[in-house]
Amino acid sequence: METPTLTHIKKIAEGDEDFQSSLILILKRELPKEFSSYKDLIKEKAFSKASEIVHKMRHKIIILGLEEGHKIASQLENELKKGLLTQHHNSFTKIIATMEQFLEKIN
Amino acid sequence: MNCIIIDDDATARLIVSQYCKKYSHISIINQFENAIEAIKFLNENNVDVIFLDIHMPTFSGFDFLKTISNSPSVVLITSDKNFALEAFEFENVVDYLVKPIEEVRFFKAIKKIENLALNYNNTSVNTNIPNDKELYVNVDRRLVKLSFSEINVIEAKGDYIRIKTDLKSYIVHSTLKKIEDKLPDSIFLKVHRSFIINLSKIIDIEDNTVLIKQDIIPVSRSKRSELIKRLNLL
Repeated sequence: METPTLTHIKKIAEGDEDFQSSLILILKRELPKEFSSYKDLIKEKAFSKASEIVHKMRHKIIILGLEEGHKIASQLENELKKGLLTQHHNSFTKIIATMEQFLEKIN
Repeated sequence: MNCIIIDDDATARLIVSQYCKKYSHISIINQFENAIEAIKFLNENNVDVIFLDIHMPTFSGFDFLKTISNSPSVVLITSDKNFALEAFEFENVVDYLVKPIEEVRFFKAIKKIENLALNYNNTSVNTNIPNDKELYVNVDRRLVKLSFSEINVIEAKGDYIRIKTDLKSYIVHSTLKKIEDKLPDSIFLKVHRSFIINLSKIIDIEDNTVLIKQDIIPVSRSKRSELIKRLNLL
């Protein structure tokens, strides 16, 4: 399984530590909230709304360098739009959990 | 250029702002997480460019474009490649960027905006003001004075050069060759086909690289001996 990295963020930052810290802060703040909303919507079987949350989370996945994770999220988003809940839901859950663990370790 | 960003994703807004910081002639004057708030702002303020996300809940980027009249130039930003055809049906859409936005691609969008929306006079290094202490560069029809002593590095970027100082970076439509001719040899050295450095700003040299502020600049093999000659070696 691929692991998150800060490579993309550092490339954009070009040494600007304020920018890097701000971006990581947003990720730390928003990712758990969005993930929580996603899980609630799945429980409620509100798949269309859940697809919108997944769409928003996709950008966070790709800026942490998770290209495979991004593909899975895209597939999940399309399936949810069609009202389907497949095994991509479980994969997506694991990806987000990995991202949260990664972000927790960053000061 | 006065710009606004409309995107419900804060990370995307921050990244676009960060890219814009590198252009002295671009000011992000406001940011919005929904398009409806932006409409109110547009009615009361002069905006040249909108960086607009397509996929937003309740009121999408396309809904926004259908609503506003006399829109300024728009650069669409999206995670989906599939909207491109629909996007260019709106006449004010200048470019279409797919997330994650790469800097090179963002740079191209800025270039398109400059060419189309502003009908700008070719920005160029001004050749009419001889001086041995400073240089005037034309940035968005504004002549900006740069003292030689404040310039750290000049980098070739396609048809443009990026002039880095401690405080700012300036993107100027010119070539490394043109600006090299305007710089005093006593202070500056072209160390690579894409880089001219201010010798007084070197922090250290290691193998084939030079550290200037936070930038690691490559040194061509052919330029290394010339660089070493120019240093006051102990």
